[in-house]
Amino acid sequence: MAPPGRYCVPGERLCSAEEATAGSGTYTRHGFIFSSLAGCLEKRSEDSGLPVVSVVRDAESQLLPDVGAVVTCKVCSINSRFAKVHILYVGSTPLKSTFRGTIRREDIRATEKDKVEVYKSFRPGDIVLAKVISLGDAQSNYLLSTAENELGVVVARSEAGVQMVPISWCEMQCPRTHTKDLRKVARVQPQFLQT
Amino acid sequence: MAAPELLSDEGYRADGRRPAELRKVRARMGVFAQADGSAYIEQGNTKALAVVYGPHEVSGAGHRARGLRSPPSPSAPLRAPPLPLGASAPPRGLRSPPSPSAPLRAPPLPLGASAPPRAPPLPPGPLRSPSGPPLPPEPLRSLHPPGLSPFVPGTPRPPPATGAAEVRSLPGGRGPSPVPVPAPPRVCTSPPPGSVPAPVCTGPRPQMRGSRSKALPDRALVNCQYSMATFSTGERRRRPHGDRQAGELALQLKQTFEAAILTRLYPRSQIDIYVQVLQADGGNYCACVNAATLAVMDAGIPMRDYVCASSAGLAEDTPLADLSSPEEAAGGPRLVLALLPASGQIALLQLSARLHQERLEAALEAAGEACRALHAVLDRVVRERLREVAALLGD
Repeated sequence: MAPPGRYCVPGERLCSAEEATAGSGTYTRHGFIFSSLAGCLEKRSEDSGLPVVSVVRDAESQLLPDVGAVVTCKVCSINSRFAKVHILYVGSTPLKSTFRGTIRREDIRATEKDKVEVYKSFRPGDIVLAKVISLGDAQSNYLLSTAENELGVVVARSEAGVQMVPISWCEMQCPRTHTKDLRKVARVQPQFLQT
Repeated sequence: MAAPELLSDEGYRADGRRPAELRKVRARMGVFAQADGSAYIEQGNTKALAVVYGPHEVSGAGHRARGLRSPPSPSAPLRAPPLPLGASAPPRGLRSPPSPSAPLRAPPLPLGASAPPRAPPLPPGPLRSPSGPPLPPEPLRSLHPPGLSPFVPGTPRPPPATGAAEVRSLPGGRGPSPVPVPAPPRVCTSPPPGSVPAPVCTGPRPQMRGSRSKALPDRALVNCQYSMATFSTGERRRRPHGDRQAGELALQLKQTFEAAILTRLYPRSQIDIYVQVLQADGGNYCACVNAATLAVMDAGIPMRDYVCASSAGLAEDTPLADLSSPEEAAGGPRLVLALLPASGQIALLQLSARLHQERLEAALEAAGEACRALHAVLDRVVRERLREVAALLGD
């Protein structure tokens, strides 16, 4: 059993703001660092400057997709201007409840944005790797972008129901019927591929 | 003013407590595995459950698609302009986040059940830590007690003081200690999961669309619902929630928690807090605040501090702490205080019935002491829970 660190509760004063930097699970007030979570105290020493004080919980609480995070999502509907997706994973952490996101037509590709057709890039049911570019305003969901080589469709099924194999950055082929479908394919790093 | 039976000649209250004594507190965290955070608290005979979901995407009337929606309470007075007495703190700053539920007295709940601990945690992965640089907390302004009467929603301002009030000091040096009351008959077993109608949700969460406009761009939305079980009072209640009182209490809870939870870490999301009173025996709101704080901590949502709430009253100049239902019904002034104990900041201060300005300080002091005692108990509960979770995960 791991030796328990020091337990902290919200509102507990940890140290002065001059001795350490506040990390996650803490906040500063009046020049002191207080805990904001009920968990274990962790002190990490950084090479540059002060050690970082943070409070960690064993069970991590719900994440939110943050700007710049790579998320895994599933396309639920498309139209000529954008694709609506459900965000399932943030990084490698599954979300307990899905968030909704939108990939606009001009964010699908980095080049030739005006010639993009959403129907030839995504289809409903595809699993897509995307990056969050905006949290959205009052009316919209998270805005995502696949305008990079490593982003795009990762898993797609053909009309025969079989998982397709990517051939190029814009095509995928069904292994059973050998038909080619157009998708904006992600170039997944080789070390992440499981064969 | 107050009925003479509130305090006997020897200085005992109707249930045998001393004036500054709290009722026996029992609490437990993590009673529901399916919720993000949950807690159960008993303060004397008052039993309350709190369940927290979130932060998740903003989805209408709570994360469950429910037909009933409690209307926003007509608590316009709570947002009224600052006190005309030149108060240094407008009432808005008084809101304290609901305190975590009262601390557990002993690890095993005498309710006889061993509620299963939470489901095993998610494997840690590269997480977006919600706080990069910690944000400066929103300033909570506290009420400066002397000479100011608190703003009471809906009641007329107390008349100007005439004559001196004799204030009896609390029994010297002894803060309210949660000594057990002559134990009421043990009534309920541990609430089986799913017995609570409102907050429990099994399976995938339905999402109600169309209220994305409620999402705040820089903070999380705190959505509270207060509900009393139909069997909670002496007579069966017809409407568990949706009535004015429930709406008002829900709004107070919301404002209290918005002050305590670090909402700026979760922009455009929603945190749901559902509280349900299973048995109402005075101090319903306080028990709900305490339970909700424990539940929020259980969910891992960062908070500034505990929020401990307690009520106080007066019996012929003797302040009473933690009023029970007959004492509340006696008609004397009742002060409800929700406090952040570490900093001493007041999150909510509410007074019903009239209270003479000169007696305010004594009542406020009694309530403050009660809150601090509650904080000690709640703290034990949380630490016990931390040890329990660590032990489970360590094996």
